[in-house]
Amino acid sequence: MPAKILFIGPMGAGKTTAIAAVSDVAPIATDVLNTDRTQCDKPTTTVAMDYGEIQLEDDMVVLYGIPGQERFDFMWSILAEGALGAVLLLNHERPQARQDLLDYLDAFPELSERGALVVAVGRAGATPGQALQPYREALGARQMALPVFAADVRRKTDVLLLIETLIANAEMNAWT
Amino acid sequence: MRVASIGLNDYEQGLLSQQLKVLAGRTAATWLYMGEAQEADLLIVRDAEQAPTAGRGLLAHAGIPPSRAGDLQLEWPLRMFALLELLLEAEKRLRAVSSTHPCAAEQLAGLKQDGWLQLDGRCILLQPRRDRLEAAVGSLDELLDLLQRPQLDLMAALHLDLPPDDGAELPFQASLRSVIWALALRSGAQCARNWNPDSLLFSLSAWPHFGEWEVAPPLLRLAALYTRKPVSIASGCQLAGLDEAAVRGFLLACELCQVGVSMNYHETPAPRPETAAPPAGGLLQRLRERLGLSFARNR
Repeated sequence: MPAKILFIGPMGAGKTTAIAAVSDVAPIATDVLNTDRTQCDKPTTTVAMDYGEIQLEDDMVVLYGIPGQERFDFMWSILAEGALGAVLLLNHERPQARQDLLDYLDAFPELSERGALVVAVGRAGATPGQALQPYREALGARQMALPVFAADVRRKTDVLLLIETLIANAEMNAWT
Repeated sequence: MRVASIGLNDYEQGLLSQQLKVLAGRTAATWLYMGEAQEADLLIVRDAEQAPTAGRGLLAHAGIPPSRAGDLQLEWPLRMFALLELLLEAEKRLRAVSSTHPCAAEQLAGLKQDGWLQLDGRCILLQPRRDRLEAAVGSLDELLDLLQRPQLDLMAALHLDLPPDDGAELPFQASLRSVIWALALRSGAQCARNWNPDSLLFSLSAWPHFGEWEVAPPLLRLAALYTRKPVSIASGCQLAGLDEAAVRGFLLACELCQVGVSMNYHETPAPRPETAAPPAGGLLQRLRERLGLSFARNR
């Protein structure tokens, strides 16, 4: 079974864009017209999973973008099983962004317990240090040591840093 | 404490490095070999023409007469006992100058009040309360070069009044903590805390603020390691594939930037892990290479 990396997060956080930045194949996107503009003001939304691939010589790493709508939460534990890790994408402009972090930590306990979760906060603005503070505090309150980055997933280098962090964690988990 | 060499060939460098390891524990300080370099606490010079002429550390002339008063001499070819005598003499002299002289990173981390200083004619404005630093330099590297000079006494050099050209914006601006982080990473050997590499176990309660602070693949591995379980410096070196100075620098940086370092002594030194084969049959390494991630290129 190929290794997998998950991209999770609420609607509009950039999962589709992040996968597109690193996938070797055109990501299979399942976007339709967004009829819930109150939750997220974007014209389309993903209604199934985004899918991408990173092709290695004899192997493959599969990228899944898991839909953020709660009606798909039954898929979360199935997909998280055996994953290298997950990138949790958050949108700092959402008023409930900090709560989003907590909700996803609760939804993916196995990943967060083994540290296989990287938190990437988008739209953090010109002072990312300030913007990231509430997320770090939330993690500290739960005594969770997880990496938190400000990231613009339209930039491939930002996405690569997130994946590199997942890789570093996977290696250390294997050796400890 | 750092020792570097000037003019040694590969064999002599290897020999020096090996002899330092054998002498570990027989000197008060931990001496780390930095390779061929122009700056260290102790410089062993084999080629007189390349010897620096202005204070870059204590000079020891290997098999050649000292060129200045106060320089040391070292028998050549290198012998273990001669090296030990040299290190003990160097410790005596360096301790006389600065037994507990904190490095620049430590001094900046301890700064509580705003002020400014001038180094080599360049103004550096420090605002710890706002976590700001401004400087008349072109880059972070230039700033670090200024701040890393030996025996720098920041408090003595700090002015508390208004800086000259007050109000004029200086070209380099950064978070003060990001500068402390970068300085400390480079100070692992110099700011050698009395950290036993085997008996002292370190853990981090949070990840460093990578992205806002300098980040590199080896640092990611160290952060992943030390946030998972308490681990010694020696184990950190082994598992992350880094030298001791780099791991010490990382832990020092975490301490000074308040990332949440805790330490516990293990009475029985923890066994050093054997270097393991890459997990997942090298899948992660191949993934790195496929994505062009730099750690793959450096391994």
